[in-house]
Amino acid sequence: MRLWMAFFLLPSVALAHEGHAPLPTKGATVQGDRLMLSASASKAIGVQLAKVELAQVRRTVRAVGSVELPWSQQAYVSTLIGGRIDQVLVKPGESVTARQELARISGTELESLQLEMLQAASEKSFAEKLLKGQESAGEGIAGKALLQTRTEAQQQTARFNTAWQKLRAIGLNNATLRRICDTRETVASIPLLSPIGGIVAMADVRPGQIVQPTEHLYHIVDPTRVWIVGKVLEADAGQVKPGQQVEIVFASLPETFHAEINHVELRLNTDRTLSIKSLLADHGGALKPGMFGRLEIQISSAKAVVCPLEALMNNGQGLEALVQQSAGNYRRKPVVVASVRGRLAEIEDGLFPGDKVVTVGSHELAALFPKRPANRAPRVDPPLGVTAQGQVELPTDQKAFASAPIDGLVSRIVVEHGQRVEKGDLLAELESLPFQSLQLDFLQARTSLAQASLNLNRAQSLRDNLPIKDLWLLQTQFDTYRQSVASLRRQLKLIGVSDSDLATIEKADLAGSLPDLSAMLSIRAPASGLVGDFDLIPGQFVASKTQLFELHNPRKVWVRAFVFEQDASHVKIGQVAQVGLASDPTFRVSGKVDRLDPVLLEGTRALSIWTELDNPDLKLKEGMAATVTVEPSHARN
Amino acid sequence: MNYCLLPLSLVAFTLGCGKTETPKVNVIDQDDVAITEADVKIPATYTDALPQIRGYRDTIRTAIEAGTPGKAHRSLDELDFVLNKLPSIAKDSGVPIEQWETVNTTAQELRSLFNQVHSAIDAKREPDYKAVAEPIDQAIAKLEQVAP
Repeated sequence: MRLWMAFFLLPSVALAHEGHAPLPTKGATVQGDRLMLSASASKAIGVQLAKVELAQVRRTVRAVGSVELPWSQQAYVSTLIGGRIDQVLVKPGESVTARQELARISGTELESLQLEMLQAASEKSFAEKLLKGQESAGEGIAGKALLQTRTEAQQQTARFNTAWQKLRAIGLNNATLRRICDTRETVASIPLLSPIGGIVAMADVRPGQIVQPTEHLYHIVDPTRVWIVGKVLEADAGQVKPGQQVEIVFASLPETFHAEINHVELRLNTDRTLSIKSLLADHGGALKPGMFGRLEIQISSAKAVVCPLEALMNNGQGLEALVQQSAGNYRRKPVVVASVRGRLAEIEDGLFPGDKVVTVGSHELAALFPKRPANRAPRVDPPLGVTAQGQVELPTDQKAFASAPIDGLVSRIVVEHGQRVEKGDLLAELESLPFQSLQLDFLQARTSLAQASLNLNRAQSLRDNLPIKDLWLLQTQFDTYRQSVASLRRQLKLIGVSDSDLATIEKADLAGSLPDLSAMLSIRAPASGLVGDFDLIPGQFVASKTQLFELHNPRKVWVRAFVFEQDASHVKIGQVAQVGLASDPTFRVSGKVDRLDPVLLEGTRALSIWTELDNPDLKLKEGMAATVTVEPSHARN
Repeated sequence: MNYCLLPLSLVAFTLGCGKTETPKVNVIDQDDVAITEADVKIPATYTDALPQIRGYRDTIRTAIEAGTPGKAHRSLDELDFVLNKLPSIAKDSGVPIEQWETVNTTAQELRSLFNQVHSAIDAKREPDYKAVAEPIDQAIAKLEQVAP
């Protein structure tokens, strides 16, 4: 009997190692994966059991993140005309309300505009009086003279209205302009107003400083609502989507913040992460832009089988647990763990609710078992065909840009990141004096053209009594104005003024009552799609041709793969290509090689090949790493 | 136990039923043939498993009632394999996760009940099937209430 026990306990002694409790000298019997333990041996080891249970388990993705200020919670303040800072009324760190004066600007440009208006007003008044007098004199005045006076009166009216509109555009209201006209006294300075309420984060103004419209003089921030921008690893990118709950913790703050994902970026960052944005309000001023934190994104919540981590043992080939079959009778079972959360392991396979597993003494008992034979790695057949690494791209016809057609300040942004827009939808508005000037030039040219047309018609009716060179002159004037009007109309259309907006502008009559012209230029979507990440804030100066928005239509994507030179000759257009994603091992779709680069890449000597894929659920994002396997042409025959 | 019994003990532990700590007697039961999982038709689905379990129960009961308990060895061994696999079968058959514990604990209960019978047969005692018949039927009925 002693020899019999010794035979079974010998392996246990041999396998035991330092750190374990003393193994029982008798009462333990190993048979295959089974262990029979006497009550005394169990007591000697101090075996304790725990029940495998069903629990609600949250599946999460972790990410690092930072606090950023949303575009809607900040604004730059710039001047529309160049000038000199007269007064600085607000300093950095001060709180301001919307429309509060921040500084006052004076300058020759302001003075010149007012002078132009006053001169035009005088000339207009004189021309109108003259015209009235000539008209009342009746036939005593030559028709040519009357025509000239009328033309002059209309031109001065147009000049006056143009000056008025320009002063309106830089911030002087109608009452102030009327007062200037009545009193003939100009204003010395114009105010610089805060477009939003908030805190002055930056003030680049000093009394006497000369400033230009291209400079951002103030930066007003309102950090009551912030963005939490998380960076999700590419491997987890396929799991995150808008609406998921996020928990955020910061090293410097004791509390945990909760938010919801509002936006998932349309493409991966250069560091192979995917940005997500969550708007967080009501943080009590605790969060400051620039702070770094840790995010836990709740992907799903489901019931799962869990067991204490202490029950799991690593035998070098995998995890296993000792499951009680009956009193003193245990079975060693391989276990597959899905995830670990705290002291609990979520079990994917091997254990079931109701199982009783050894939590104390399991390692001592595991030492009683003979070592498992090493598993031979399963043979994996190499993929048939040519395999190449690549990444997802957006086809050129699936991406469009909206740019600033003219210099201006971003006045209003009406879309959000990731928002779907249709072609022609309003994206933003630019406040642009050059745009207003263009409209005024157009209207002035139209007024001049109308007058030139009138003069020419009249001259043609008096052809026999008029020197021919006068007729030629009038014809030339008419042709010149007609060309100017056509050219200015084209320019307005080129900067994005729609036909309907153009019709509205044309209705204004500079020679008549004061037209209501706006300096606001609409930036509209050039194509339908999703608004990509943009880096604009209200008040920002943008130069002509600056790219403002990207519109993506990711329903179709390209996967561009790089085939080594030695394999390049095996790839042909039309071959079947299997595409996999690094971020999702289960993802596999089939497409066809659509395009081959006619030249190899310099340096790497790789051939670029493109496979076009449908992307209905938008799972494929620009920049994602992909693997493309091009099947040999005969593979499917 | 003298040295000549050692090989017999080894055979018993390596190939025998292994349902109890009771050492094997030195008489080899001709019906007690060692089997492995490969010898058992493991049901593909939970729905398939239930009639198979009922079939094993009937065979075991009939053999005992006929006074040939040795004939129950094979069914007891196979049933043990099937019951051991039952939670996995239920999982793969789409049985709701909330019912896995019922399947698991009931299967364990059934194994324990049949092990009592098996131990008696192994020990050449008269197996008292009647003593476990009712809880066995109740446990099987409980398994039948679980729907994939």
